Amino acid sequence: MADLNVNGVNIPLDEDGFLEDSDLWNEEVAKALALTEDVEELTEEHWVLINYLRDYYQKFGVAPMIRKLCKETGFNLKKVYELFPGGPAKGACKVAGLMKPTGCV
Amino acid sequence: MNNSILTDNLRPEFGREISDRFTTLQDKGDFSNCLTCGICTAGCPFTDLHPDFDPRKFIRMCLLGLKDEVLQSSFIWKCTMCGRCTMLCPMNVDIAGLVRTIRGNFGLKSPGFLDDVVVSQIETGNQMEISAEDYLDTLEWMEEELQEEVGTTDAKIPVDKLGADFVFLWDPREIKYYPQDIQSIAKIMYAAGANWTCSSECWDATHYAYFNGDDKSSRIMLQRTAQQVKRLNVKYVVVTECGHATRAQRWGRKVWLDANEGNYPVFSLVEKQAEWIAKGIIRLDPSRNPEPVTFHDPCNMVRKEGVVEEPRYCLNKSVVEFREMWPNREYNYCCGGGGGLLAMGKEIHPYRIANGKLKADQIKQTGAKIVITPCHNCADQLSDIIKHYKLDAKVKHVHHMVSNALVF
Repeated sequence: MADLNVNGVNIPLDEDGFLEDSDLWNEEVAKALALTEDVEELTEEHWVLINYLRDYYQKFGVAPMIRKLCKETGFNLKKVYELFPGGPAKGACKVAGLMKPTGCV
Repeated sequence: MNNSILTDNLRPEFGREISDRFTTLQDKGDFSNCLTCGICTAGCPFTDLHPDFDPRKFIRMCLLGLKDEVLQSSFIWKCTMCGRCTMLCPMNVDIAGLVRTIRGNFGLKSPGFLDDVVVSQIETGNQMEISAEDYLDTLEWMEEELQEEVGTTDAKIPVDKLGADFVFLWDPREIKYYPQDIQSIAKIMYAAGANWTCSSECWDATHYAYFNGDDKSSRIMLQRTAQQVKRLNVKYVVVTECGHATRAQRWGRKVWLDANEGNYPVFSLVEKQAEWIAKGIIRLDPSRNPEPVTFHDPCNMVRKEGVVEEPRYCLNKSVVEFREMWPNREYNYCCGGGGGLLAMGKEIHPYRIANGKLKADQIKQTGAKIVITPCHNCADQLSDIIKHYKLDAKVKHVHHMVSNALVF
């Protein structure tokens, strides 16, 4: 996938459009990533999800199980898909700047 | 590939090195029967799309002993091992098997993260490194959700139930990222009154060593399944909707296990759904799925394992309008991302997206809004194709249609 350009900074993406370097993430990058996932605007609810995912990822180095994500954010699965049509993995995790997990994702 | 061949550089022992290491149910030397007729090349969906991508030449190179050229060739990684060439070959030369043997037995490292996935499977028991606690917690959660959906606590997701009819193996991504699939599948099990169980120990159906050719790991993975069959005292194994997992669990138990170790039957979830519908055990209302659907045949399940009519039967009973793409069944085109290509990273990505043009055109011609495929690997490649070629369609599995159409 073509790299992102955010405020003149080149942000390399992997073949599925995930960040190649999670440290290059910031809020502007999140907005640019959201556009690649057909999310036009990041609302307060989107940020609840994004912030939870980032905190968890920074602590444990992996994405949380979906049950944890639902419990901690108070969103059910349906709501997660409403916010990120690509779903928790390819939608929410991508926008939150997590790197693509290896395996059949 | 068209340079002069210098006899001094040939390593005639290469053919024997391959046949000695070949994992197959056929005669290990069968590939030397090649008549160079080129039907393999004619049958390969992708040969015209890329320079230097020619199965006939690849077999010649192996037999002539162009060892260095073969080991350095991109063919061995770009081939999706779809087996269309072999189906058409008059001498039954197993080209996918040749590719797999070379990938895994000559000290090569796979591109991308393919080898890492195999390591994860061997070291943690599943390719996504999900802990036992997280796995069981997710099953429990989906059991609660299912009970709420069907309105009874009789709907269960049993774990380690001894003496059930079958043990069900999951794709770890269903557990980690798509828990709603667990609910959909368990709902069908409940409707069918299935006497089933999950295993708390080894529950990963997938098998990435099937792609990177690591036979030692393949044997360990199959032994794990065999152990669960024994421990849980079940009659057979049912594999979730995953093409390579169906192939690896079913064919694999015959090639990687001893005859007495691997003597349990293995079915795809698709076959069980078809059986339950045909016997009237589950009832469906197709009007719940009004959008036109088409079906993509996963090579491993359809061409290689012969599960051809069952998914079509399920769809004809569960949706209003089913449209075949062409060609179909065992003549289908690979999605373009098989053979582990989805785990081969950035380098191989443009290649598989180029492959996907064929499938994009097939889908477009059906005008279907939903593409059904009982394979997670195909599903990801199809989603990538749909996005890249801007098609108006979404990807689903057979069980999504069936569970949505269930009438209690």
